[in-house]
Amino acid sequence: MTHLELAGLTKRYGGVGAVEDVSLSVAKGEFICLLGPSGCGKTTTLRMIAGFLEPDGGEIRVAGEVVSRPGRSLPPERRNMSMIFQSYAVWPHMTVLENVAYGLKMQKRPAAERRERALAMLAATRLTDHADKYPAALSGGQQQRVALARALAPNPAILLLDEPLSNLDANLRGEMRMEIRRLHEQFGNTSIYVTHDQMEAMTMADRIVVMNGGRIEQIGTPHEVYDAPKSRFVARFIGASNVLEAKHVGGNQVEVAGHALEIGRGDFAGAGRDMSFCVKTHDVDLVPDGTAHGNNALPGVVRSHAYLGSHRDYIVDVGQEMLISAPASLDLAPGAKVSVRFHADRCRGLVQ
Amino acid sequence: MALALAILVLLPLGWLAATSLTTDNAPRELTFRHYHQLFVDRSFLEPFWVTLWTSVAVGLLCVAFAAPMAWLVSRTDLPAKRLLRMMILASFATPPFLGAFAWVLLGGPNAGLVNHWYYWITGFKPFEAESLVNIFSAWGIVFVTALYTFPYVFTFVATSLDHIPSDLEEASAILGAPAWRTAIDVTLPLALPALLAGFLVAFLQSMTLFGPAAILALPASIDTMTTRIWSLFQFPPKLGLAAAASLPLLLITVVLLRAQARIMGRRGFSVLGGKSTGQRLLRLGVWKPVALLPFAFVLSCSVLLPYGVLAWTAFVKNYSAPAAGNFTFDNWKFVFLEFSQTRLALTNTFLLGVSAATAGTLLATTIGYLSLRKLVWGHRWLSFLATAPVAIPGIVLAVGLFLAYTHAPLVLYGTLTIIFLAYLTKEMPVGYQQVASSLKSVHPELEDASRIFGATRLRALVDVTAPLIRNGVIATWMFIFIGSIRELSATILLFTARTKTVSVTMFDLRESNDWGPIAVLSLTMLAITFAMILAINFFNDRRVT
Ligand SMILES: Nc1ncnc2c1ncn2[C@@H]1O[C@H](COP(=O)(O)OP(=O)(O)O)[C@@H](O)[C@H]1O
Ligand SMILES: [Mg+2]
Repeated sequence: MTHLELAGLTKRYGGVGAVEDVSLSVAKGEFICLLGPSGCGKTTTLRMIAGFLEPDGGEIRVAGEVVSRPGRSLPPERRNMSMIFQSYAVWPHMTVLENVAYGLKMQKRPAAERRERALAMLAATRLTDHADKYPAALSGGQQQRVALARALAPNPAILLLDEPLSNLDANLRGEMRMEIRRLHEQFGNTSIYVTHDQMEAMTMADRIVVMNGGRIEQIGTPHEVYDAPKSRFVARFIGASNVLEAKHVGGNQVEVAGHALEIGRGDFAGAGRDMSFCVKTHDVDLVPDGTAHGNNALPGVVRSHAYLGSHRDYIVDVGQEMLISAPASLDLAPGAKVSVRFHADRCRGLVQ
Repeated sequence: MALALAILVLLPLGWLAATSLTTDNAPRELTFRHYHQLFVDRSFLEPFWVTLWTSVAVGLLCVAFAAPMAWLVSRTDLPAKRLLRMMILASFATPPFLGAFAWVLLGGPNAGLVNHWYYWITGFKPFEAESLVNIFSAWGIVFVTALYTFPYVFTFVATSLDHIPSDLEEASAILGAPAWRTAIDVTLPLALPALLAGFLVAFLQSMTLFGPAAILALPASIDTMTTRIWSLFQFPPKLGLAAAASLPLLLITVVLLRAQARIMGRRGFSVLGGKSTGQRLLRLGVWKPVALLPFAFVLSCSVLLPYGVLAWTAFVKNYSAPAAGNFTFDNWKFVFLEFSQTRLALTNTFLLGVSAATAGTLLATTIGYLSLRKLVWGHRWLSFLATAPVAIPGIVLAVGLFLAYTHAPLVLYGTLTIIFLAYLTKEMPVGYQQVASSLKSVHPELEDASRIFGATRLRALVDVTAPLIRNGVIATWMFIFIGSIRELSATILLFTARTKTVSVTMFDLRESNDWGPIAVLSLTMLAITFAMILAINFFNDRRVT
């Protein structure tokens, strides 16, 4: 059942589109990640959903009712949403308990119920011991948990999160990722999570929305986005991929620097046209013998390598530079002539 | 709101320009006569020249003393740094005209205490031998003004030095440069913008101050631009000329402030944000006493001696007589109980201070909130208008206000209201900066958070923003209050017999050589100022964030 719907959402700043024609349907209880590089319009989208910004085009519907459209936008305080901010935005002049109970106070719940529910949220976020402290006395991770407890306490229909982990250090980030996902499972809010970190998106999301330059590039489950990127941008951004330039010969055949290769999946440009294909760094074989071409392989030269314990990363020049993950046992010196063998079913044609 | 602000700032300036271009008496016609007279009349050229060279001298003197002092505090293991910084703050907080009064007592050619000691030590006789110092001279103005403007240069340079990342200097040291080479090759160029900006501010201060010039130069028959403008208001007033003479001051201030903003903006703080922790401090060793000398000299002259002489004068019958049998409380009784003028002045000053501070804080907070949160159309203009008066020297503002409010429909001359408007306008930039900086420290997301949980904009303001900027707002109130109770340059043109303030009354008491009451009023003013500064620090230390 569709809970939140964006239809053709657009926002311009001085004629430049920060968000352009974004359409998305979110089911009740779904966890969606908006993923994209800095400046691609994620925050703008989120703030339109929250009601802080009014769209210049398109509309936002919650449970079928329009809450935002140009010229008419329900103010944030009447949307029954919660938000977790990049800066935490925990109020420094209120105790942890007062922070968490604030949303309930705005809902005019009786004092006893407010306290009970706030304490329950503190227990869920393991902050019970800190209830009467001021936020300044807490660590970054604890403040982030206060923000979480505060956002969940009013039991919002929709929870919005804007890069909530970007100010934490790496260890804490992993821990909080689990925590957020656990709380999502526990409370089942429809959640929109903004991040520029593909690891975060992959591990938390039910579906990922990849954004670029204000537009949606692809919507899909983490597996779909990882395994079947629809554009060069998505392939590059999700990472661990090589995107190689090629020319479509016809059928499944492409040509790279005079060598024919077979591509198993994806889109094709049409015979004679330029296109690309992507292949994961660990989905190609690095063959030490520099003469074993044919057979879906390209000749190349090792440029450099890095020993990473579990494997080795090689930069290999096949006319274009490729990053290849090879077994740690394969030890080749820079300058060595090699062959790079592709598997048709692991290569995916890209036109966009 | 914007309209009120625009009227407040632009109306006086409009009248200033218009009056300078029209003849004084009906029928009013367009004329350039006033400007023409500025350029040919020796009684204008000379003050202009005096103002120019004394201001340059003040700027250079400030730089010559403050720059090495700032370097010593920031880069060496000088002892008692906290105390020194606090005393420099004290010079900063001392109204320059109080300093000038104190230095009349210290450096007057015959009765001045410094000369007194000089005669006593040397055995010379007053009136026979030349006195050691004569404060009633152009150099006297330079000296006293520099004493109370050097803190600007010191603060600029010290702040800049504190923000130069130590790795920049260490890079030079590691390449084999001795400490003095590093200071000259690396530190000096990096601190140069701050130095230049400090010079410009010292110059501007000196150019637009009325107090020291009036107290020290008039008795020596020297005129500066500010005293000259003031004399044009004595009977019979020459308003067109006064307006024309004000405009150069305004123009120079605007140009130099823009230059200063550009210097600070472009290079001054470009290294800000670099790592400034763990500064390696140069060891002074046996040079410590030598390094303390400039501090001892400057701070004695700006704080210790003046405060000392004021305290002495407030409690004696005759300040140049020996201590025995000289003590008295008469001066205090006179000021607070007997003399109706001072009591009226104290009441007026208090009323003006409270009303300007309250209105100014309300206005600055509203404007600050509207413009920083971009809530209204034209918010840029709001913040521009609020900060623009910083470029209007007090005496120029007073000329403009005088011209604007002696005409129908709004005749305010002779009321406290016109002085209130002067203070409000003059203090608006300070208030706005204060409020803006505390509003900027409140992340907009803190308010957003309150709204998404169901608070209206007003509720968010009450629940979140107001408590978080409370200390900043209180500090703003106190800053405006301090600024108002000491104001002289604008008040001197706007007061009438019934609207005298403390500063103006002190100026009058001087005519009759009533130094005891002057000292009492000075001490009172200083006590209030320092009490407020302590309170501001107290509130800032208790910030919850
Ligand atoms: N208030 C604003 N005024 C002008 N441009 C803005 C404003 N807010 C955002 N933008 C622009 O819109 C684009 C998207 O911004 P944002 O949504 O913050 O990106 P993200 O959150 O993905 O990093 C950026 O190019 C940014 O410069
Ligand atoms: Mg963002």
